[in-house]
Amino acid sequence: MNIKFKNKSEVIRKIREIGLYYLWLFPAAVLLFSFLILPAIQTIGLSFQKKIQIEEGTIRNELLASFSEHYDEKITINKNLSDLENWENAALPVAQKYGITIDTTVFDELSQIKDIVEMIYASLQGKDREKGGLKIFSLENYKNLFTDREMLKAFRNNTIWLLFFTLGTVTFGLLLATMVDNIRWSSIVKAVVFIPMAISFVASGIIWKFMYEIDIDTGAINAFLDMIFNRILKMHYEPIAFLGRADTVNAALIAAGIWMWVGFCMVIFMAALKGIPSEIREACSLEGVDGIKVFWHIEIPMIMPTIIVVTTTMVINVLKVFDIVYVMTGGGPYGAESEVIANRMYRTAFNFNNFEYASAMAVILLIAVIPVMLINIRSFAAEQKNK
Amino acid sequence: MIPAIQSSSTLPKRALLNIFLVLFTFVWFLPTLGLFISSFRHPSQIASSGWWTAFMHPASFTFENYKFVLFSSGIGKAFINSLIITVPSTCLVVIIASLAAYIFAFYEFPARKILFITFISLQVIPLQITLIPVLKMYRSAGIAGTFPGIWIAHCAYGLPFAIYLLRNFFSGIPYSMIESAQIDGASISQIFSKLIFPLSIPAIASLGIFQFIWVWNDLLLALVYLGGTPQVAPLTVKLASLSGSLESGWNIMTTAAFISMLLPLIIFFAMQKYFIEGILAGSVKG
Repeated sequence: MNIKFKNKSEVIRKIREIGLYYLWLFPAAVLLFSFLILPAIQTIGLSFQKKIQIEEGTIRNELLASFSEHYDEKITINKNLSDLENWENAALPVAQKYGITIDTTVFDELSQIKDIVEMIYASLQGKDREKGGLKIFSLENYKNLFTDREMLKAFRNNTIWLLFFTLGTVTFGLLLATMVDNIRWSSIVKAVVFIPMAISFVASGIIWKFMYEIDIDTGAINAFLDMIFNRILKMHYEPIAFLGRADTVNAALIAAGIWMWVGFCMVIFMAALKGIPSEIREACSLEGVDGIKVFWHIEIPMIMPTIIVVTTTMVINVLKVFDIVYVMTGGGPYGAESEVIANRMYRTAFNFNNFEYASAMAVILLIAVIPVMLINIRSFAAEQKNK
Repeated sequence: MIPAIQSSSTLPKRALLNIFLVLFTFVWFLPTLGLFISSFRHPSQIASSGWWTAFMHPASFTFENYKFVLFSSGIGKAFINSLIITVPSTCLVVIIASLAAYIFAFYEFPARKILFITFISLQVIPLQITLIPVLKMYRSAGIAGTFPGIWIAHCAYGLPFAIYLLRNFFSGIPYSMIESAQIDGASISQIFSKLIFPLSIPAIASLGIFQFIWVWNDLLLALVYLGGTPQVAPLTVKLASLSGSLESGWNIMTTAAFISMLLPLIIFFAMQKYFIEGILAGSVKG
């Protein structure tokens, strides 16, 4: 008896303890659920919806078609319902299609088909006011993604970004980290390369807009090229509007993006390189192994896990690239030459108020990061095991 | 040790490396320097000559742009708004994340592992997927375009990284310390507030700085959840709209941009170590 009692209090104590742990997790769990998990599900749902505007004529035609099919004869709008047996069976499917439930008690008040039309239309109007438009299930948003000219440009540009931005930041970051490792004033290089990481992409965007100015009295890059080609080489050089031409705008934006993110990559690579035991490098230099060989055959393989982490981080960043494009070109010139998915999504949702179509774009972004997410979850899980 | 065994042939190599890095660092710094110099030049000069010629007439530097931008263009107000947005968002994340990270680090309970992995994998979710439903929720709750709305949003979005960073740090604290505190009869909240929190000040500093800079520099969430209302617009939104409007000259843009960079730069230089540690904690161990 005594033992049983002790066990019971033990169980209660344990339950209370676990309850307490959950209580501590509660604020984070609620926030993560209501700001990330639930909205993600809602957005996916929204992406399969389409707003429709229904005319009274459409409802009339559909009802008549349904009636004609049901009774296998041509039925006109003025037909008396009392002449038709079980007419609900013909009318209800049409109402259902628009998501309207008809209260069967009002059926007695209807005498002609046009009364049904009016009733459905009136309840649709009511629905309209409530929810800001009638929505039906549709794949059209996804179909539009792959036919819409601006969207196709955005897909192309995101791919260009993905390739060149990722390659650029990871390669430069790695090279700089190896070079900086060997010098005494490395902290200065580190600080300078890292500054863009501390300031906003908006400010960086303005800095680079200023650099790319076409006027050689304002834009440093055009002024520099003008000096080299026109004054020194005596060749003819016309200042280039880097952000205003279809063939230069993406390269110009990506270059600015690389300037912003290289510091991040460099810092992480430097930490990884520091993790390589110094005996290995000493042994190599005693053996007279060439520095470049050490880099390729020893350092790179040893920091491979870090290279993968940095690359996936850059891929996630580049898929979501927004601020740089929004500030520097707004997706232009010529409508969409530098458009990217995130900017298109923003404009579709918040400038054109088409939440459904914008949701489909956001879903594409989510799908694009899923492979990266799986890699991350696997490495988290592996890390958990080690602990 | 390495220099001792270096042969003479590596000397030119080292010189080359140093020259290259000097050049590189200089070029990397130029864009920021150009902005900085331009913000102190007269509007007429910015338009007629490059900032690289500015030192030929150094007498012409002026504070006029700053005076104008701070007091007449609304940037001063935007600066205050940025502060009002950033400080509470940062504090909220630190508090809520440390509660969760503490439980995850030291206590065993059902579904612990799956919850933790779910929490931190949310780091990679593109925020775009959440914007529309959250905005709708905000509109119906009446907090769209208000500071509390954006505080909570920033806090929620910052949590996955924050929990990850803090839990990694907490895991380094020996469990025996917790045990002996438990034997002394300390409750969970006492252990947290008297033992873990004080021990974790470096990690909390890293997280705080990181979050502060992230929120300060955010454009997207401010655009969406504050909806372009000038009374609440932070610096980033104000700058973006300046950059989009044709009439604002480079003197205004460069000055406004530099004002927006000021606080992050000070924090970065003063606490570079913590900032970089935050970045490392967030990515290397993953």
